[in-house]
Amino acid sequence: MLVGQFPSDLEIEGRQTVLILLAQIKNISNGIVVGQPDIWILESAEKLTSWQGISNVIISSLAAAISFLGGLYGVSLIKPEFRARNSVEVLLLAGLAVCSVIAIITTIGIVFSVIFESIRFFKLIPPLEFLSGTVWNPEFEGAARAGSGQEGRAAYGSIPLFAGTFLISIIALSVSVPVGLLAAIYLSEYATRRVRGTVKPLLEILAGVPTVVYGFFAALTIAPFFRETGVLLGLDVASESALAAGFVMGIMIIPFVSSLSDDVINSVPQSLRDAALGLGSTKSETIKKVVLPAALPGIVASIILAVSRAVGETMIVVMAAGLAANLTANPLDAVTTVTAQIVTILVGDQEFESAKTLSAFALALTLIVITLVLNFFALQIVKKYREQYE
Amino acid sequence: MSNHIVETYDEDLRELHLLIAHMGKDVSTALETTCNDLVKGDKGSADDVIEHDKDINAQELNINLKAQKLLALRAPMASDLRVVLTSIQVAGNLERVGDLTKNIAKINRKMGMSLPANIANLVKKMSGLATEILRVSISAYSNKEENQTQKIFDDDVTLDKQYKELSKAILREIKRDEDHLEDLAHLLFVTRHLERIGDHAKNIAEATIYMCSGEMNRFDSLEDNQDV
Amino acid sequence: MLELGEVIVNCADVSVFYGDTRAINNISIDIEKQSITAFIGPSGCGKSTFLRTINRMNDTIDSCRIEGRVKVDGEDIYAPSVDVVPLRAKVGMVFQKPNPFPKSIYENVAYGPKIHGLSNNKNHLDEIVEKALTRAGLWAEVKDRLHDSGTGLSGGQQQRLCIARTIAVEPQIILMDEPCSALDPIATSKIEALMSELSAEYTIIIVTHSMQQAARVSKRTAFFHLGDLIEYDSTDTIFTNPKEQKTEDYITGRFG
Repeated sequence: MLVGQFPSDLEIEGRQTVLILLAQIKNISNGIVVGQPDIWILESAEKLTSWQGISNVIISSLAAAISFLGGLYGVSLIKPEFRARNSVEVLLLAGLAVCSVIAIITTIGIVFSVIFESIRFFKLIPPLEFLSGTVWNPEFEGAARAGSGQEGRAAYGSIPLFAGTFLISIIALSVSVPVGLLAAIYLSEYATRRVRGTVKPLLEILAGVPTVVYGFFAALTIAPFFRETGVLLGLDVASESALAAGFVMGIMIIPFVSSLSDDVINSVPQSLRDAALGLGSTKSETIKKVVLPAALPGIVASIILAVSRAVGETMIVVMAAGLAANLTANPLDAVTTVTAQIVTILVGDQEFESAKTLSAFALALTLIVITLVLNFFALQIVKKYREQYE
Repeated sequence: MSNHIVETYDEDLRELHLLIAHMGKDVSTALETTCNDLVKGDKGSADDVIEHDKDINAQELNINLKAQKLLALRAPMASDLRVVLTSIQVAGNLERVGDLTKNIAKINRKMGMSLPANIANLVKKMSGLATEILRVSISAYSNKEENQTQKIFDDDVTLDKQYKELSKAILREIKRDEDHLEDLAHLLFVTRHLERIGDHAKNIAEATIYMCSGEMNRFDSLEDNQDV
Repeated sequence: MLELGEVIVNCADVSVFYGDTRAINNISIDIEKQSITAFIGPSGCGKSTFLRTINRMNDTIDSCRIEGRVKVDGEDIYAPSVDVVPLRAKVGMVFQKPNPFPKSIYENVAYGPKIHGLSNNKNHLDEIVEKALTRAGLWAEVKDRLHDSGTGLSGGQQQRLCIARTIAVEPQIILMDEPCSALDPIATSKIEALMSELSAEYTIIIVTHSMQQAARVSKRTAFFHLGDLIEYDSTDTIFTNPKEQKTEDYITGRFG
């Protein structure tokens, strides 16, 4: 409507200009005046203000009218036969459904936005190269543009990133699974009630420590320690080794494995232990041959959940692992992970539309898919496990 | 003894016991009446007694059915089991006594002569004792008391002696008075029946002992020592 | 009349404490070999606790303490030098709720022989499993599906599987803690028939809530009440003419 009010002799230089003018008018009508705008602009602003006033009044009165009519309708329904409790039931149901729908829609929204941006990325870089390339070097993107004379295209092969994630996760698991599982076995089978009551919450605290603190700890204490030990042993340990990051991540993940496994082992019915003991098993035989096999699906599920946590961990690797994509199987080298890369990419001041920025979405998409698949498997295993004791 | 937790169980057992008491009373009364009338030569009660025997048989059947139900549904144990088992035994014995009484009534009805004085006295004595033994045994069973049972055993020994005495007297009378041979022969049957009634009363006493203490056939050992 | 043949379990002045609470008061009892003995009594009278002293399953409860002497086959099982593991092979146990391991039927039965090292080759192990399942009356029903899960069987079959599992280690004594209470009447009858057959070879002690069951299967019955042994006699006597008033009151349903 406003545009129609523009002086006919105004030169319009494209949609951008119109938008700028409209913005200016809006600002003025809200009381923000910059410089000396033209008269016609001021008049448009006044019109805008008055229109806004009229529309406010209309909206208010409409709202009042509807409320009133609604109230009348509600009152008219109040008869002796009216089952108010049933209506409340329906209302509650509707309310709960709405909340669930909001949660679902939000999730879908996030996923879709990632998918959209990833599609834009894949228009620039072929998916095959992304998934199978072994060099990850988005830095050259800007360099090529600036025409600094640097040779080479930016490379978007994600394999080194996934390899890095994989390596660090393996190291983390090799710390957390044995420690967590054995801790769980101790807590549920051997510990007295008092010990269990103290130690279990302590383990849970490990899960409560902010990951940035872990990263801090990893970067400033563990990594130098490994490096110096390496020097003593004659090994070349990078100062941002996968070993350091993986080790600390493992510590963080211990409660995931131990807590879930402990619950699962505890829920193995005592009758099975009694049966094994009654047959003449020792306690450790009972645990090894009866309790753990019975709890195994639950334990595997907990490990898978721990894996998905490890894969998605960001802060520790950002602080303690390297930032250069490096395809290696040596834990003493510096590697980077998918999550660290996403942070690096988005924390810069790149143009939003560039391939480099969009690559973050592609990486995020792959990460989402992997975690989804892992969680799905974990759920399936837990479901199968529950069936056994029906 | 305290009550069963399930009250209806107590009621069932009580009912069974009352049925026995009732049947016993009917049988005792019939026996007493019939024997008195036989001695007096009065045939008035005979038809009633004979007719009433059907009712006594029906009572036995009823008791058996109730006992069967208790066994099937309650699975009685220990003392309860003994109560139920003995109720069947006692009902059977009472039914036989009823039949024997009926036979005595039939003989009364057919009797042509009036009893000679000495025989009448003996019959009166013997039937009196038999009736008494029966009454005591039924009362002991109804009250679940063992303490009368020795007396019953001893009285039955006396009854057997009376039986021998009475039989001899009747046989002597037959030799003396051949005209009334048939009637006197019937009288022999009567003495036999009375002796049998004593045995049935003794069975009831043994059942009482079993019910109270679980001991079976106590009288067997006593009989072995008797010179009867 | 309690006339015992050869005695295989001899308990003298046995008391069991949970912490400070006394659960069993000075009980002395002898169990005859190769027969079925039943323990009856109201809930909480200690019959299960007493049963568990015979295979030392009470050891698994921390606060549990025992006084007195229990001899199995002439040997004091609470002597310090006694190893619990072979004892539990000698004295097996079947529980109230069937508890097969979530393994295959074969593995369930083979579990005991394996941990006790009773077999050193697969053929022998197969034989042991078949023999145990046959004796438990289950072979015909499962011989074609030995590798199916044990938990997929019906309740009665599961309990027979547990019995097979117990007899696979060749025990001398089998303790049964209310083995039929979770089963329907037909399954119960099958287990009772099985018990009769097994008693020719094994000594069986059964704890049961059902007096009818004790009456049906056992040769001797012990009546427990509040941790005391009230009466112990032939089953016949206990159920037709018990000597103690408390026994009489319990079995006739006058208290419970």
